[in-house]
Amino acid sequence: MEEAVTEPVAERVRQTAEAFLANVDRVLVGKRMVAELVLVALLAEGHVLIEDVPGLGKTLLAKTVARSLACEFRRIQCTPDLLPSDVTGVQVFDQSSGTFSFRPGPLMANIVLVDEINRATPRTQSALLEAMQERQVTVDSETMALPKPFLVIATQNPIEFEGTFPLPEAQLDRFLFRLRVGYPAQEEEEEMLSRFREHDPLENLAYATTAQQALELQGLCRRVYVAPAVRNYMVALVRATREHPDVKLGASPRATLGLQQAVQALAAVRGRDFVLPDDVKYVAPATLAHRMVIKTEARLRGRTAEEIISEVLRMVPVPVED
Amino acid sequence: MSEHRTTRGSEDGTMAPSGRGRELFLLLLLVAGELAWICLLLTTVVRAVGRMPNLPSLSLLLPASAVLNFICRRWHPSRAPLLLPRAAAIALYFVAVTIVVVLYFRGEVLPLGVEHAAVLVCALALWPLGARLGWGSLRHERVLGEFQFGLVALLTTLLAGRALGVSTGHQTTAGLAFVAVGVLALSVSRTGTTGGRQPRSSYWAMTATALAAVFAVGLLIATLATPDALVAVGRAFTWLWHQIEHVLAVVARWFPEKSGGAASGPGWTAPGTSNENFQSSDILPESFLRVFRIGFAFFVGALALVVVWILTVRAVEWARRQASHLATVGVERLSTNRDRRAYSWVHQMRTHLARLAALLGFGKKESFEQSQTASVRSLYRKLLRWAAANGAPKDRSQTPLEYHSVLTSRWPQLLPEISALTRAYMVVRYSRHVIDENELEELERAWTNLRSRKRHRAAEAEAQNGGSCN
Repeated sequence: MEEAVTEPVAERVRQTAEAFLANVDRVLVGKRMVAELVLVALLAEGHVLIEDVPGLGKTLLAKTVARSLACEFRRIQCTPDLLPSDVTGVQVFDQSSGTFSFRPGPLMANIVLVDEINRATPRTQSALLEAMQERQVTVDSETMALPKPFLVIATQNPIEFEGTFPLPEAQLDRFLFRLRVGYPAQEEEEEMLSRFREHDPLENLAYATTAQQALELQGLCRRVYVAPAVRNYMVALVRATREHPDVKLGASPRATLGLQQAVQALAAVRGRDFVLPDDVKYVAPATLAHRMVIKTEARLRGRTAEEIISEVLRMVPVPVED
Repeated sequence: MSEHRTTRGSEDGTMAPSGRGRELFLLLLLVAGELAWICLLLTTVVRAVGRMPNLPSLSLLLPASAVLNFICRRWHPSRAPLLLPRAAAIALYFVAVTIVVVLYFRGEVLPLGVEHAAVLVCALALWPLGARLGWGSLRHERVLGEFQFGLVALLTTLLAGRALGVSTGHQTTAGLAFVAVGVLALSVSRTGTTGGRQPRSSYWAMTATALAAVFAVGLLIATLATPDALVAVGRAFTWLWHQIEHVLAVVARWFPEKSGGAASGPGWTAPGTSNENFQSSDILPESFLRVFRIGFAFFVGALALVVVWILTVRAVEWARRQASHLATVGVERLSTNRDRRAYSWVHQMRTHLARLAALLGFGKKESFEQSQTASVRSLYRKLLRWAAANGAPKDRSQTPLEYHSVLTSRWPQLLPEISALTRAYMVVRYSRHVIDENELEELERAWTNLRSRKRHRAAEAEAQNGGSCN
């Protein structure tokens, strides 16, 4: 059995995470929780879907994350005429050498912001999501690995549906987290104004860690100890989503796996070498809500996936002494 | 939590077996070998001597078994898989007990009477009790240990009864006494007397003490519980008294007679010496014996209840585990009030029984780390009960940290104690770390402080209320 991560190592992850979050705090005001979860997704080798209205700093968040990690950042603005080859790259004929050479698409980066993913056609979406899952792209029978670490931050607008292609459940399942940025509080918005009055803080932002270090931390997070009781608790939560009367389709086993990876990364980010039930409760809404399909009658009654998750969290007993 | 540095060995305490079939085969081989060895020993002695071995020769069985156990452990140290070997060991154990009983009654008519059934029941009761000791992390050598101990205790009882001249009718009672006390003593040796916190180094010393207790206390109880044995003891006392008289008579011959008559020994008669058919009531009054018998019957009854309870709980747990493995129902449904009441009742019963069992010294043989973990968990349970009794019960969906917030907002003055207990509990429950003895002592101190400070505060509040009333 692989050796569990020890406390000093977890402390190292925590220090790196603190530096990263402090960096993000220099640019974004009051978005520490979202930034923390994006970092967790990166360490858990997952991807993030940010669902919110325009203008809340989704792109800025992605750029800040990329800058803080000293990673290569690319942005894909999705439109209905976007082709899979625009994303993955194309083989171009080089007249001078008389051969085809691969011109990489924007997907060939460490952090990729896929803006308004629901505006791309299903064909492009599936090419993109396949790359997310397999971490490689195939162009003209040639397979190329994507750089590591690889994090996709996709955004979609939950309000506008005209001219969009909603992501099917199978594709939503590939995102580790669905996050909402949310409007800032009044003080936060005032602070934002003063911060951006003279210059863009992103321009002078130093990196907190490197891509190579992030890769190393990913390996460490996988070794964080998950007690059997906590594992049972996670499984019980996921199964409860399947048995809830208002749910048509509960969270998948992939969700269970994702939940475990997420809680391991979160525990390491918080300087622990073991997972607490609190970690599970913290990431469960972001991990499970988007993977559930709610029954039509429940949706008409105004039930949301987040409500059902919190109900499930209240229902399933936490593994503590009786 | 950087102070918790020690790390447990493996995730669930098991080493990866190289193959389930191989493990099972080896275990069966070991059990069969052990059984064959005991039977061979017995039959050889029976053939050579023409009768069952006596008590001293039988006493060789235990050290010989210990040596065999040691060899087994060295030969194959990995853990055994749980279910099938356990079932196989139980079956073999039953077979062995039957063989022993048949050997004992060899040549005699075996009526289907209550006495034989009782001997079997007594032997069968030993297994669950023994298995209970090592249930959590069952090693095959431990299975064998329990198995051997059961056999040896039973044989010793039967043969000790025969040596004392106890009639068959009363050997059952004596057997029960021996077995019950033996198991109790052994479990004490395995658990430790102060909450199971003895380091492993004291294990052997405690085991030796416990084994001595098996014979001493078992003999005492058997003596008190069986009138025939009492007769035998009375005879022994009489014999002893004769020897004293004889010595006194020899000594008296050395002194010259002062006033007439030949020196023909002491001029008095020891009580009972003239009456060969003396009754047990000459030593102890019948009413006293009756009280002992009734008390012993209650003891055996309680023991049987505990066995039934343990078996039931284990069966239910096993069934639940199977159900969850089959993935039919994996989530506890929202419980109704009635369910909660029933759950609470069952839980309380179980807790009280567990406490009683712990008080009697029952418990799994735990490693030092496991016992530390158990102590911390026990302290946290006390905290939960204390908080519930003081109006802050924990909700089942609350994590320790969430509950910590509830408690500290209610009793802010107890923040250090509650934090220490909660933190230690989280470490031992959810991580591989263990806490050392000093930390455990600090936690116990924190728990004592918590209770005393609460009491102190309550007393102060009462005094203030009293003062304001005055």
